[in-house]
Amino acid sequence: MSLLVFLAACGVGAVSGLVPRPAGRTGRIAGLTALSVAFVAALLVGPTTRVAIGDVTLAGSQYSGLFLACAAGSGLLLCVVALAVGWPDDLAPASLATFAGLAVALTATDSGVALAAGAAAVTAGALVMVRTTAPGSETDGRLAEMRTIGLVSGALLLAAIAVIRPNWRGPSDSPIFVLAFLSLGLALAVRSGAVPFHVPAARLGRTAEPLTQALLLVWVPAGLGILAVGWSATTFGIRSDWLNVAVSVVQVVAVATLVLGGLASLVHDELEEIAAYSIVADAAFVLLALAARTDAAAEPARMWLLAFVAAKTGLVAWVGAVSHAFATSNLERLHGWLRRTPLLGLALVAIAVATLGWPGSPVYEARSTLIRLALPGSLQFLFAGSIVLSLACYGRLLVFGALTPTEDVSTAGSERPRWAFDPLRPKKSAIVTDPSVDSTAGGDAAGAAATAAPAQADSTEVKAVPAKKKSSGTRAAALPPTPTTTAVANDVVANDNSTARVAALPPAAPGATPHVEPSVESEGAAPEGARELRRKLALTWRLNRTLAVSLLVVGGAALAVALAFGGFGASNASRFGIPLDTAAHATPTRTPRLTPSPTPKATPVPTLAPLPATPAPSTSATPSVSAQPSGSPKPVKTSAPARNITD
Amino acid sequence: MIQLAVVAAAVAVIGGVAAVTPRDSRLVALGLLVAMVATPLASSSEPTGLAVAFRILGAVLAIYLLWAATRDRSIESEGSGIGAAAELIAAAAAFSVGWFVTPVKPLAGPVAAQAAGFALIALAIVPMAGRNVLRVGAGLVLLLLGISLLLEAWVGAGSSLRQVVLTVLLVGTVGATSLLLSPAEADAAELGHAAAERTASAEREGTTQIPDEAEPDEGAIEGATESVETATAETRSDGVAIGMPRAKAAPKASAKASAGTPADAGAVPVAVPAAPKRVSTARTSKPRAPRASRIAANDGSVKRAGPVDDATPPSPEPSTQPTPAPSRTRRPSPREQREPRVPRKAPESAEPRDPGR
Repeated sequence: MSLLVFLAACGVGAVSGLVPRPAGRTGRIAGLTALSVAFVAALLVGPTTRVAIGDVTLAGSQYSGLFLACAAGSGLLLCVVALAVGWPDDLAPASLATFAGLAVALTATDSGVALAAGAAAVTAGALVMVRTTAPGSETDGRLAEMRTIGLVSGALLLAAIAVIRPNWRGPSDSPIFVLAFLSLGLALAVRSGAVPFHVPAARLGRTAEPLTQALLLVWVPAGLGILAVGWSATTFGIRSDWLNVAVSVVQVVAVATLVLGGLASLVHDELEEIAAYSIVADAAFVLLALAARTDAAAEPARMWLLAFVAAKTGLVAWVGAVSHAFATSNLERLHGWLRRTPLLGLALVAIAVATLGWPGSPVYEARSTLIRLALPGSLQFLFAGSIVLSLACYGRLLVFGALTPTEDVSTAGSERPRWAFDPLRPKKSAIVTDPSVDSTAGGDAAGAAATAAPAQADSTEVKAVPAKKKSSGTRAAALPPTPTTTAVANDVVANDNSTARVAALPPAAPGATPHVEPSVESEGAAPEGARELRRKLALTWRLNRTLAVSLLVVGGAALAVALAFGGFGASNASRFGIPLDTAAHATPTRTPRLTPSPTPKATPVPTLAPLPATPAPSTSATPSVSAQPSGSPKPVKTSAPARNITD
Repeated sequence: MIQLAVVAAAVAVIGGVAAVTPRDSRLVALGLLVAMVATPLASSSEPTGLAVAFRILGAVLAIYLLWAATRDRSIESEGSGIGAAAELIAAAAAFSVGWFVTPVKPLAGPVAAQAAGFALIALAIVPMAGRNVLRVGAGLVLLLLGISLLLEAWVGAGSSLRQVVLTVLLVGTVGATSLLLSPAEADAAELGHAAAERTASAEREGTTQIPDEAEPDEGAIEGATESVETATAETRSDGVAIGMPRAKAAPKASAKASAGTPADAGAVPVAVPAAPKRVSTARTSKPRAPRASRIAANDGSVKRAGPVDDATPPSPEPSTQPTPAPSRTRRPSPREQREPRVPRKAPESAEPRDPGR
């Protein structure tokens, strides 16, 4: 039932969010409500969740429920942040459509259904693409997205053909498995922006709506990664020279992505590009999980994907918050951001911790295990290298934040709480609004009748300054008038979509000629206590929007840390896969004929035979198969193999 | 007796040829509709009514999305580079290969489905390598149809849920194509074409004229910011030649402003001597403002806008120097290469003039 609710919420929410154009309040409410319902419903998805649609069963599991909840929660967090930093119309509908497709893919027990649903989920990414480049140019984001959809969809369907394993006439299934393996690898690499498909991913900051990097580079690749890992140890666990070559290709792509992505995040200056390359570099671990071809890689891959979704969504939200707070995303112009927004610095540290962990933490062990299982011994240093590159990326951001603030940063608002009224000094307070606009804080312009007409700043408002802030006001008064008024006003002006322009102004700011009209009380108007309080609270909310966004990002980063350290049942859920893992194990693999047994004794036919009891660290060229077919709790009735193994 | 699956497979291939061959988007949509409707009939010798009905409904919905995106704008596909006959022959060859090869034995589905799958995949390869979004989308839909046919021919008829998911995938793919079809592309091409035609006629007649009916609508102005401006030397102080038509890459605001001026609305033919003139070209058209910018301009709900090209305030005094060519120009499509819309011969005044001369 909870799965049906999840699917219904996603479907209805996606349609409701797409109908009103542009998405006004209705679209926002529909999107947020649907994401909230989907999040709650995903929390209820468990091993007992089953929905029969025809002859296919959608079966939930502990991990699929947690992953869907993590994804829906990340989408909800990002949309709430987007309420403050600028609402992308299509983020919520596209996210909901993607989550619906991923929900079917992660719960279907039919391989064809699962992979087709994954392909369908990819198509929702077109919703968030906006055009900023000339058509047909090399940087045409629409064309790149169209090709991405084509490559991923076609590759997943090809993989579905091979995974279902029809009755091939050939002497061996190896070419088909090579094709399927490369298809899955291609789908993962293209959608996650791995090298050499990284250019469209890096340009998403310009070609897609804001904050949508999380959808295109995090949520969708993570869902596809869960699908791909399910077959890594079983279907592709055969010994074949051509398959080994294909695995080597995936390994090369993963290593290149890990290294070049980390390096690229160090040399770019736009926050969107830094975040994109950081995400791309970390997505290489999914490719490594695919290349490992062992059951031992499944659990760390699942654990890593949970942390990846939460942490990288937090990073995207952090980029949006910083870009919004300082009205720029260029790192050179963001010197000193940490001094103005220390909470965002704390969030960045938390995101780094959630991404990397430390020795002994589940996420650290997951990354370490994936590299150990997927790469040969001579490349094990890449684990330390990836940590160093990630630390350098985050450290660079923090160091730039500790430098002397630039003009963009110094003129922007900070996270310091501000109030629209001062209950201690009501006599000295006056609220001034821009005469050309109405005060939208409470919708009562008469309540804010006092007017100021600064000479340089056209958008200022005098508000009550608490006594403890007087020093800063005095310091601001000593500065040139234009930067001063703009500095204080910039926060609210940049934050507010409407025309409310509120800022603190020192009582005797030079250059400004405040025309202070008598306050409401002095005019003799009715106090209208509750209404006035509501208006002031709304004004206070607008004044502290930077603080609110920072707190949201910090909260999201804290949740990511909790997930990365095994909280919310992440460690336990990672032990169990999705129903498709059981289906993959239930379908025996054909014995490769090219590698006959050297011993006269007949070896067991299925390759799932318990060869090594414990998965030894090995290279991918010699895939190991664990004794336990799956960590799944209970076998799920799956679609029967297309044929019987007779040879 | 000819089976339904064979007929449907042939129809699906013909629809595929019709989808990748013409330039008219309506024919492309019609071809896709035929292919999408015929595919479920070809995939099984005894198709279930529910699955076929669902696939047909999905096909109609998908094509409606495509039609809605292209009906008001003359968005065109690049068309086939080898012609309909060659496409048909290639598809027939692939169909034959698919009919006679047997990679899977016994086949779980009809051999016609396998043959049609081979043919549709062969038809889809070249369009997917193109640069036209509509053509790429049509190729992608054919590719997915072909793979789904192979899937059902080799593995057997899928479950009802698989049919549903495949239908959603096809609808999503066509919907993505419809979304990514930018109207600005057509608008820019249309306006650039109109400007080139005006300039060419002015060259032939020795006059410059901006007819009323040639004034593009607002959307067209947004899409292409080329504007043809008539200026006379009497109003200039730098001694530029008299009465020459001057094309100037004007921002959107100035284009809108100039569109409303009586001088432009009057469109009085001005006889000018054969003075050096600079023509406008469609190659230098600026891209349309991103959707985020347009939304921000409407309600301000999106804070971060794209490039600020269109937000550049108009210059109060037009520069006498020729506008430098933009550093990044649009690559001409194969159709433009075949049928150039701009005059080939550049006038002499295209070079920068020396003010002191």
